[in-house]
Amino acid sequence: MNKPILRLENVSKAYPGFALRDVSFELLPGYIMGLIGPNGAGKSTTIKLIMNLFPLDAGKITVFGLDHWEDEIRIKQQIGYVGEDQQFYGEMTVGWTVDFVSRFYANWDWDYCRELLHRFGLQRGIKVNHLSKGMEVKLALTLALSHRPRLLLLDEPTSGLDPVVRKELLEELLEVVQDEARSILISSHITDDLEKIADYITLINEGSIVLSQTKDYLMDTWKRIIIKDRQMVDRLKPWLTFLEPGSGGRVGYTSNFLELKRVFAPELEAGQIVRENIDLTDLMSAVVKGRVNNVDAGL
Amino acid sequence: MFITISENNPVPLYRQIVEQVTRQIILGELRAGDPLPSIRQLAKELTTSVITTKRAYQELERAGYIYTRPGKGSFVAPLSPEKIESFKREVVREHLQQAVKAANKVGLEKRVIRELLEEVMEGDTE
Repeated sequence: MNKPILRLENVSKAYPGFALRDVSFELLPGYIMGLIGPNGAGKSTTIKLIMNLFPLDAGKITVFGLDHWEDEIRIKQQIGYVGEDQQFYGEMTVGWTVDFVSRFYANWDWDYCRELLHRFGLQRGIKVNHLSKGMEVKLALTLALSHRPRLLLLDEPTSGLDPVVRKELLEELLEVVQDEARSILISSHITDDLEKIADYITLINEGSIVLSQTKDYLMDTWKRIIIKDRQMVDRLKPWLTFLEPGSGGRVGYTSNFLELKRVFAPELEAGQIVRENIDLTDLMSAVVKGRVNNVDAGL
Repeated sequence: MFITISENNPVPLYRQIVEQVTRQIILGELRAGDPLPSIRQLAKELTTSVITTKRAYQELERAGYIYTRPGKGSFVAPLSPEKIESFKREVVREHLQQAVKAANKVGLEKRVIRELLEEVMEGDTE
């Protein structure tokens, strides 16, 4: 039960002008992981490598305990994948598309598929190129879910969708993990509301993993620190990963608030130092712009 | 069980859940033996992560408000009237501590704090 659904060990892949280096992380059954990072960080490459869309240079990917290269067929029967762009036959109908895709899966669940089509308001008779962007994503998700995959890989699925549709997708994804056996990996460069539902966050920058942790732990340990008392600036400097430009060293981010809280308890109490909660957008910019060597990464 | 959480609230999400469940138990809105939604069901209802709701339930369990039966789910723990009384005291004590802290910060004397407490209580009973 607690064997990881997905495990990457020291995965590397180089192209001209880009390299993914030593990427390692794992995802346990029943959880949702957000893979975040700026554009070009390597999120899509990571997901495409898991999907075996091109070969690894080095490392190992294990899905459901199976080797992703040798057992590709068995694995793919239990993976659902939604890529950045939906590749459909535009002249064909929703119904034709669903029938077409269903034939590739031994475990296609027609009841569930019809339920999803109904819930998403997708009519079988409508031509795919008449669908809005939001409806296209819903169709892609229906196709990715109808064989009840154990691992769902979503590559930037919500970019370009309105908040109402995004909310619907989030609820559907939380429905997927209800039985504690399935996992979801979602990539996103805009840290939008998708991260609300993420249990784990893996942050990737310039082809390397910066951190991979539960979101709750990140929110506990990363804080924005405001130094009200100028004389404290030097003492706090080693604790801060990234100083906000223009703040004269008085506003920065710490990745080690639990320790800082102990060392500077009196100063926090007296208001000489103030801490604020941050969100994942702040975290991403702190890490991307900050001195990454200071980051207590990936424990 | 009715719970709402907000990302804009500086209190961590799991604490928001803990506080609301605790309040409902203390006020008797939730009674001993009442079933709670599963960790995953609650995450879905609140559109939040499973780990967040799990952490809230662990905290509630540690504090003795709820108990969990493997495979059956989580339930409100039976609490004696004395226990409820002591929980009530604990909750109010925490709030008063905050108030005293604030008073100390602006340098109010103990005498003034007591006066203010009286004043607030008088105001409330009208």
